[in-house]
Amino acid sequence: MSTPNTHAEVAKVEHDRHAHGWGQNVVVLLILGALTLSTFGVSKLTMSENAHLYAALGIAAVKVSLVVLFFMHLKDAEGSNKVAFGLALVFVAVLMWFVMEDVNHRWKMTRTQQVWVAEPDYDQYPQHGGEEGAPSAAKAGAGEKKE
Amino acid sequence: MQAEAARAMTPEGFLEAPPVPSHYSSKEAHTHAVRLGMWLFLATEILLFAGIFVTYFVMRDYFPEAWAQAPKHLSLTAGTINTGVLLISSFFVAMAHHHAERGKNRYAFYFLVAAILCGFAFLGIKSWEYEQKFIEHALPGKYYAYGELRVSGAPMFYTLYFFATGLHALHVIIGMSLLTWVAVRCWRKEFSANYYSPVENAGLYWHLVDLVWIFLYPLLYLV
Repeated sequence: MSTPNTHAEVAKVEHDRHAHGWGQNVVVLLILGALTLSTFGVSKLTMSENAHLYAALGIAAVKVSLVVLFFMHLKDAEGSNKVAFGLALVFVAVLMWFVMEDVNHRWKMTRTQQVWVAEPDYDQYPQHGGEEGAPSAAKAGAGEKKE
Repeated sequence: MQAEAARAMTPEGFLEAPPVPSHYSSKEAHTHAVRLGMWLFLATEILLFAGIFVTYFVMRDYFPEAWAQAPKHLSLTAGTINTGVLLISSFFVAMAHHHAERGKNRYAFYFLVAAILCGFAFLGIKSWEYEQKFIEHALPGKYYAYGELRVSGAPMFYTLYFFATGLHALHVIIGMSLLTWVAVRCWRKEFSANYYSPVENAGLYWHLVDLVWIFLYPLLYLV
């Protein structure tokens, strides 16, 4: 195929590349909304913490794929764009993998105690939950929603 | 700047597209190069946020109890509404792109304004959330004094919460500025099938803001 050079030819190529519109974008938006609600719903299920994490990350990955492929048109983009984006994701995966491997093994090899952390000074603002503020029993109920 | 000033109206009523720089063989090559440049920039942005996500997982490993408890002290309602707001704004931006490349500048303008309003809504809700955290002293590092969550590592969770959402909010503000810039140009009827790269690239930036939030939402508010 010859390379288009006139404005009209370029316009046609670009127009064909973006054969999308209301219908496709609305469907993608509805699926994204449904997936957001499903993330919320899954978080309420009784599962292990890791299962919750993997489920949330899995649904987020599907949502991101939809946004990237359809809203950002990567599915129609030139190969070089796909390589640029795909390689960034691979590099993120490598970074995440190596760091977590290090963290997991370092824990077993060199760290026998809980990591040191400074105890916050809860009394520096006694009116907001510090000891001198005499927090009620209900107030101390960690785990309650702050809605 | 002189070339900018000299741009005339086309017979179809659009501002003439800026000239293609002479080192590009064709208009298409220029358009592709601009698009590739934007995707490469987005790749660097992804790696910027990747550092925050890696820190999140490392700290989650160090302080499992804080990471299990702290999300319950964030406003799940606010986080969920903000997720919806950003998804809808992404839809608006996709529609603005759709219309701009067909020369329907006025429609593109309205969709961009809708997306910008979504950005204001997002920042408003986020500001309310920040205010609550400041009132409770659920703050980063040594400023943490939130008596209702006394577990090891809670200050670190809030350090990450403020840093991640703060950096994201900065991107929202930059994205809104870019959308405003292209909206003004839409109003001036600058875009057509021949030239719409600014709308496309500002849109890509805005979608990236959405992508980051899609991961921040479950990690900070849900799990």
